[in-house]
Amino acid sequence: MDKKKTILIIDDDVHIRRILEIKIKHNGYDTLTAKNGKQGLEIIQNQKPDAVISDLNMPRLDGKELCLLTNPLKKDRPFFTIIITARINPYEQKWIDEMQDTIFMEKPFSPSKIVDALAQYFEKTRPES
Amino acid sequence: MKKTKFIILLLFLLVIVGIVLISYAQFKKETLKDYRQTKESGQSLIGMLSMPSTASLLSGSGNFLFRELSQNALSNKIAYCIIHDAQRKPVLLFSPANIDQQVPDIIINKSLLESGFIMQDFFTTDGRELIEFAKPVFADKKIAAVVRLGLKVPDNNFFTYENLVLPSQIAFFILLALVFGYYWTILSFKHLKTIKLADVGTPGIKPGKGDVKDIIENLEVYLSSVKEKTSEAESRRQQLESRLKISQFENKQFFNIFNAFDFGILLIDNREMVFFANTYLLDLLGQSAEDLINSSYDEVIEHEDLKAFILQRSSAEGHLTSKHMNITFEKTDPGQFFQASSSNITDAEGSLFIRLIMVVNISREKESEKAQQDFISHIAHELRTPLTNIKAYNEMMMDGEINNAEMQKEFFNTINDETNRLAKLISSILELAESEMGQLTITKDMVKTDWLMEGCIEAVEAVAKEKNITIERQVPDNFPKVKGDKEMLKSALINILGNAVKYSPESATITFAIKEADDMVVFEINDTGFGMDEKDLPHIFEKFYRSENEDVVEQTGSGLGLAITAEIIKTHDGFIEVQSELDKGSQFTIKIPKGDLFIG
Repeated sequence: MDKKKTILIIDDDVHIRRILEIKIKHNGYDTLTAKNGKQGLEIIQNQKPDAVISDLNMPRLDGKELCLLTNPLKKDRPFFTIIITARINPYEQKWIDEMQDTIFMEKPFSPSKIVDALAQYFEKTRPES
Repeated sequence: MKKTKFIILLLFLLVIVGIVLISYAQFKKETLKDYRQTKESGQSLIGMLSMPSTASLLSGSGNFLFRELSQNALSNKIAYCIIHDAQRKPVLLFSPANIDQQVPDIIINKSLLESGFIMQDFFTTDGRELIEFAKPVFADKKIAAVVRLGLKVPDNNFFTYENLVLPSQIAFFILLALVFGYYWTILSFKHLKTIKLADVGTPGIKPGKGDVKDIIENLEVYLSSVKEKTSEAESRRQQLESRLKISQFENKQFFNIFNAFDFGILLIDNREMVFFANTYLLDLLGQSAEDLINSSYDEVIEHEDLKAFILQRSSAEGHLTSKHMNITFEKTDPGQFFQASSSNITDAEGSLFIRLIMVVNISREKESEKAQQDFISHIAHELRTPLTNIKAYNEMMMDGEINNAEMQKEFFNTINDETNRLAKLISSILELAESEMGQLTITKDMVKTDWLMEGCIEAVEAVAKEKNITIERQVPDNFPKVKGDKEMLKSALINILGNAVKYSPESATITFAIKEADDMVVFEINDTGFGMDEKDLPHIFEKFYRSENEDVVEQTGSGLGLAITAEIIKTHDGFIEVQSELDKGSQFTIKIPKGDLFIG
């Protein structure tokens, strides 16, 4: 039996944090939550989650800045990142494409789609036994 | 040809006159010589005849004397010889042709009366020139006789051999020179016969026998044509020179205008050489005009992207195309964006003669585009966040994942709250749109400020009561009136008062004051809440701006409330100011022109 994966949820909206926490826990993962990018970065560095779900538009270090700071960490310890955003600006598409193991999902998203994406990633990256 | 004939005729006349003059001089010289010889002969002969022995001749041996005279070498020159006795009577007379009878008396008298040697030059009555020599012969110291000798002055004929020898020689040499000159000219011009004069497009050239006349005639025609063409060329040169000067002046004027533009201009001619670069572009490139002008752009332009763009456009098909490329320059700030565009300029025949490269600073457009994109992103974010919650919570309920009754209630409440949030947000956006169009759409009425105050307090009272917040009123004796849209003004004030309640801790006191200052009504709302960071103050009236302050982030909000308020105040020709200190509170001051100003 694999060790439970830990998923970090970063969003300044309390309701989104809450619903994602419930949905992800129901699907057998452990969860961590952060109210903004700054808190999220600290958790990524200290608790090394297996995946990060982050809002793009946040106070105190937004989703883009968080990705740019955490992407280099993925060379040594790859982890999955889902960026939740209301809209991707045309001039912002480029930086997302340059991030490793990163996808984005537009609001309003379906919580089921989030867990599907997580399962797919972990399935793909599971070491051959 | 007429000129040539005239010159030849003139030369000929000059030669004739010269020959005549020389002949005349020669003739005069000979004449003088004869005259002198005659005088000398006469003098010596009269000298001999006047010897004292001559007196003895009077006695009768005169015939001997005359015989001697007739046999003298000068006999043909002697016209007469007369010897007079002491009484001046002619005693011996030698006059072969009786010329003595034609001697004027005055000559005779003078010869006879003078006692010395006399020589007289005179003309006889029939016009012959003679020289009379007279000398007395002395015997015993008395005049015994007078000898008179008349000599003919020789008739010197002009056309004598002596006269004509020199002119003939001169004429001969001139003739010789002319003959030689003629043949020399022919030989010199011989090669000219091979020139096809007609080929030079000279009208009037006639084919001839190739003699000098033809050659000279043709040369004359040709030279006149050359002269005509030289004159035409000179006139064209002057025209071109003046056009060039005008063109240079115009170019300079154009270049001065181009240099005044606040965008870069680069002109490249059809040889791919840089024709002109304005100062704006030179500054961007960090190069001087001397570096670029009259050099191949490929070699001198150091900016690789710009060079690549020019090359790409030069290989593009078709004329009058205009494309662009975004570029940046090292010399400018990182946030500065430029756009290069190219236009091929053709002449009337459609041939490319210059390429115009323009480099325009599009930072402002980029900034504006980004601001617009950010605004759309903000609206999308604000609208889609509650929508996401409604969808997500609803999906979980529908999927039957939430069985706990307590949690189900929480979910329903969240869905309800988020629906209200979404509805409020849509109202705010509509309100903002309305206030931005306010100048055109609002209708202004007289609004009582006591009504405004009570309406605002009533709107926030419920929330204030929950937090045990007290709202103190500070009012004037007489409430002034303002002119405006009462609902809009109320909405603006509610936004400020609502924020004061929202961002104040529990049991705080808020002051709402109405004052009059000059021609304005002043609304002051003071709170002792969280206050605002200095760095947030310049941005609080921007749409969707929200502070990153922990206490602010905790509260839900769209970031539109203050933007709407500022827009409404502006529409009412008012002012809004804020003073705030973190953890101490904020004071908002709104000034609206008094209503009675409008009704006079």
